[in-house]
Amino acid sequence: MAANKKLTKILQGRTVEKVAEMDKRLTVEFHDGSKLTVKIGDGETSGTPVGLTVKGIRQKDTTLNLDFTDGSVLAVPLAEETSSVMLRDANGTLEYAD
Amino acid sequence: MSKGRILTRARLVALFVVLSFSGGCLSRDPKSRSSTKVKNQEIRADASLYNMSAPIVPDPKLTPGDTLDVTKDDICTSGYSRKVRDVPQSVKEKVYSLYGISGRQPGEYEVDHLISLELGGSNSIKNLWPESYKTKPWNAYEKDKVENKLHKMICNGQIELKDAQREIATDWMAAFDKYIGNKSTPGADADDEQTGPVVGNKRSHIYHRPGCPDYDRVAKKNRVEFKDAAEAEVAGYTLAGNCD
Repeated sequence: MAANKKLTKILQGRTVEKVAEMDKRLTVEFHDGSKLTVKIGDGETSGTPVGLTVKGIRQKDTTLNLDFTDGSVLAVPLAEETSSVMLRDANGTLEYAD
Repeated sequence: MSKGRILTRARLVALFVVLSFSGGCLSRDPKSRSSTKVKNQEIRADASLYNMSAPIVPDPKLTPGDTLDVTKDDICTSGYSRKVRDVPQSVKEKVYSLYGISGRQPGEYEVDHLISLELGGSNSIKNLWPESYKTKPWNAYEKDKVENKLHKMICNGQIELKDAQREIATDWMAAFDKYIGNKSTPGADADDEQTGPVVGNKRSHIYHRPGCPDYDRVAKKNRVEFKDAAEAEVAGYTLAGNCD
């Protein structure tokens, strides 16, 4: 599973405040007000990372892993290998899209 | 003559010019083994365009187009394209495979976005196709021109983002004719901006096209080359103010 350096550089150090899933979309909100939106595919999203701090992001095909500093992982099944992940800051400014 | 008939005639002209340039490369696609066969199907010329090994329009079934959930403000912010991840090579290989392109030369194709990133297009495989640099008169360089033009028009409030996305996804060559000028005759846009390498400045993130006043003035240590303006803009560079 390869590191997503671009997204890692942005998300590293941010702490998860809230995770919600609705209509095939997973939303991860961070303590700084930024919001990661992921179009999810079939499969279970594993992990409950509230309060954890992002260490890095990895991806292989349609699986996106958020690695946390405590060693735990949030594994997210993506709807597509690309065009599934978007990150906006607290002001709504786009920080990342794939 | 109706606009539709004019456009069809334009496509036929383009098709025959492409056939005359493409030579043996037709043989790679079993759907279009014979140029004679294609010529005998003039009425289906539009469909034939995306059946060739060097497609100048995407197959609408494979590449209907796809967009990100972004706004005009997003795409008109300097450096927008740099925020979008590059298409992974694995996805590019899937695109070539879907289009039946098994062998290719360096510089022959670009896995291009039908709706370009600067117009809010996504990296979804539904928005990607192998676009030729070599076909004439229509090719990736020509499409870059209409993408750049539409991006400017969106940011200047001259066209809605959704309308630009729809037009380029529906028929990018018609969009070219509409916004750049009629290209039914090869060379019709000979006075258009030059294509070819452009020079960027790594420090200022400003780029200069060939012929621009400061093209040769970028210090060697800051100089970076892009194959064209579109590539520079995708990398987050902005056209020099004295270069319009």
